[in-house]
Amino acid sequence: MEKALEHYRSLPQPKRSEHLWRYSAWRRLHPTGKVEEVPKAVSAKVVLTNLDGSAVDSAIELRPARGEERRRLSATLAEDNVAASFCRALCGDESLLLSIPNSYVGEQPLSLDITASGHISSLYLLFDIGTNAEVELAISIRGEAGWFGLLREGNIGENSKLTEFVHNRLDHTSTLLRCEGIELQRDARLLTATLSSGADKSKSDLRYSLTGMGADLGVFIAVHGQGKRHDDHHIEIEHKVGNNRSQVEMHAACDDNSRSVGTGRLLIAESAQGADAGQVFRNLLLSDKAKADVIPELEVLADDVSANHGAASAPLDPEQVFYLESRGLDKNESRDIIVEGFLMDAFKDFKSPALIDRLRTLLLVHLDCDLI
Amino acid sequence: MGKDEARDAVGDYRYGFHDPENAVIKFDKGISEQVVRDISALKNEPEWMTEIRVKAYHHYVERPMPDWGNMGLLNSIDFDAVTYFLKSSSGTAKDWDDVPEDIKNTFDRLGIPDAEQKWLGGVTAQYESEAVYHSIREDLEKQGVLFYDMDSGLREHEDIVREYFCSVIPYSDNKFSALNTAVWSGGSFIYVPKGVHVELPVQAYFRINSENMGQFERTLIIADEGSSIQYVEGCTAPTFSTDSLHSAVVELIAMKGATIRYTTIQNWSTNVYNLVTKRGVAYENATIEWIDGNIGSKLTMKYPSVILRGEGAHAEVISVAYSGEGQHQDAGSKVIHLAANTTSNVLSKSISKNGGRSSYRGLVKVSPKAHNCKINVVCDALLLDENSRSDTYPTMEVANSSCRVEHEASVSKVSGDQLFYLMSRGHSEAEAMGMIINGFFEPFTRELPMEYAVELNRLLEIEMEGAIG
Repeated sequence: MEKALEHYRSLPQPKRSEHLWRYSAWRRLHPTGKVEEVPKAVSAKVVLTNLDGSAVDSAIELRPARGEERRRLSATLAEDNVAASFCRALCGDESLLLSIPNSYVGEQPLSLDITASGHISSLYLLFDIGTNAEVELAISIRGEAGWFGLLREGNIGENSKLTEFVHNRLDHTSTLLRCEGIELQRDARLLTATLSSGADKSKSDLRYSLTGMGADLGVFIAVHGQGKRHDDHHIEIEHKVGNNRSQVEMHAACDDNSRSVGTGRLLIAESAQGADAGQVFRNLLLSDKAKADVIPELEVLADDVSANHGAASAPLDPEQVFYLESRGLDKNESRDIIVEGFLMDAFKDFKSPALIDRLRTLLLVHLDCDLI
Repeated sequence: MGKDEARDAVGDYRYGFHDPENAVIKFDKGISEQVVRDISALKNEPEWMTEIRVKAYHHYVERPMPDWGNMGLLNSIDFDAVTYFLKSSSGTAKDWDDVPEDIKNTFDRLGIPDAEQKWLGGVTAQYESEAVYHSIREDLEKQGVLFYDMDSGLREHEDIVREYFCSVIPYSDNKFSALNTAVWSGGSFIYVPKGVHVELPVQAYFRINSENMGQFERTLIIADEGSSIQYVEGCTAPTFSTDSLHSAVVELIAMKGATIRYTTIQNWSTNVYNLVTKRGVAYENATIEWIDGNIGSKLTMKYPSVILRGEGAHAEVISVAYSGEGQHQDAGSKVIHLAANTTSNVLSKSISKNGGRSSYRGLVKVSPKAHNCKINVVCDALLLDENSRSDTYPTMEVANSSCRVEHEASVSKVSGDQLFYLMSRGHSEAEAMGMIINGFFEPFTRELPMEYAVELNRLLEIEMEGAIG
């Protein structure tokens, strides 16, 4: 605890010239605004079940993590990562480990329900997926905590597949800081989808390291901004070895005074020949005061690669609205359908019918739409 | 001006003169407030200019180095080892025969004044810190076009210079614009009156010849309502210097309905630090085009910018960069949309070879009042070997819901299929590679005057030698 605290305090405070903090200053995200402070936090409540509510297989463990496990599974987030260091200091010795054994193949998706309450809440969640395993996971973040810090680190073993979605539906008065560092071993696959619609101030720093050949990563993010919501996603992917693939697809629909920020950093190391990486950021601006900022960065040090990114911002297409109105829908219904279609399009390569259905339902409920 | 005359002009100052082969005046290395005042006194400048220089100098001293970009190379610049002013000729000649022989030989090899007679509206040739030759076609002069080297522009048209100097790029903009404002010398001053179209491009040649030399030219172009001009800036001659510094500032002002096209082909030697600030302001229905080619230099940091201030204004930026061994081309563009119905197009292409590094760093910013604007940004990069590197750092800030922004970028190597196709038609691998590279840069070369396009293709061929095997 003391060590983590000391380490955090020894780090230089991030500058606004760093893209990671350009639009969401650390001082504004910090729970008290005094960046040197590490206040006391209440641990978030975590419940693990199958998606239908039944008990999970006995082979799956959710238990406090041991020191050695923490060290082994926390290699992806750099020591100088201020937000992750802060979360470690905040969580102290408390951390949970979700362990999936080798060759486990889940018959139905798991559900991890995280409830954050109190003034300041935190959770340090580690996961360790063995080799040749296949698991689907639905993570829900909810509650009315004033501030919630979630640090998630883990490893996906050789030839394992993790398909997951994270739904941020914290109360709108909350602030969310989400830090993730995940390592993919040889032939591992991670498809991770995020639906971000809760917490008026939300900052996610998601980092993935492709350390094994044949690894396959898909990051799909849908953001809905309403009111004064400020949502900032940073996605950093490092291809350390070759012949692997990554894809980022982020769609943000910004209404009212909301602002969406998407920053991506794609690093292809010199030894990562044959890497195939792409990032797409799309923004739909629904009101005059909405804002959308995008910085998709590429750093490519290998020549035999395919690396690309695209970004686009545009208003609602009046022709689409007109088409739907001509079919008898009113303006608001037409708009909701277009927003729903735009956001769900971020998940078009998310290959899990069960989770996609759940995501769509959650989105429609959020949009308060009658189309379920 | 002789050495004694120069001494008289600047008074009793501490900086002794060196007298290398062709230097009329050479300041000691390093910069201080006194150096800045001495440069101003030597040029007999008005007091307001001296004041701006001194303020800029203090800002330069106080401002830290940028904490982004290639900090390793940036921090290796020894600013105390740079000569901030070197005059090689006693004045600016209007007749080519009056240019000193050794300098003339250099520029003759570049095809001047041959090119001037054939296809240019005017020429400025700058050698080290000051212009050594300057001319403008009579018909343009009669139409009221003002084309001077910047020092003469300040002397002859102080009112215009005072109005626009530092109006687009304040000295406090960045560390290098502050440095330039403090020690600027040479560059071009152009004013195009209302409704005048300068059909032939005007051109400036810049050359650094000495070791550890700093060239800080300052260019100001004002195109009045409904006028147009094309300015070509050539740095195509390889230089023989080591660790020199080129830090220019270019300000463009395009009034209502005016068009300015600013073309650069930078081919400094690979030990020149090229840290340049270029920015234009486009008013109602005006157009500013930056056509920017970067072939040489050790480190280039250059992001030609356009502020679209008037409704219907348009910006066009086409840039190419070639990075060879030991080079880092950190180039890009910035477009700020402040008014409605403004449009911009950015096309960036880069090639990295033999361990070279190319970076695209761009900004597109749309203000809340910029309704219905359209923006398109495309960046393509080719990596020719496994030791090279390509980075893309685009930033898009959109605060208006009615605008459309599109950006795409890709990094790849030369397609094996394209090579195979050309080789199956009888071309050698090197020829095929050359054709693909020329084709890759074609959107840029087609915007150049013919002579420049030919020159650029030839340069690329030389640079690409040995790219295969």
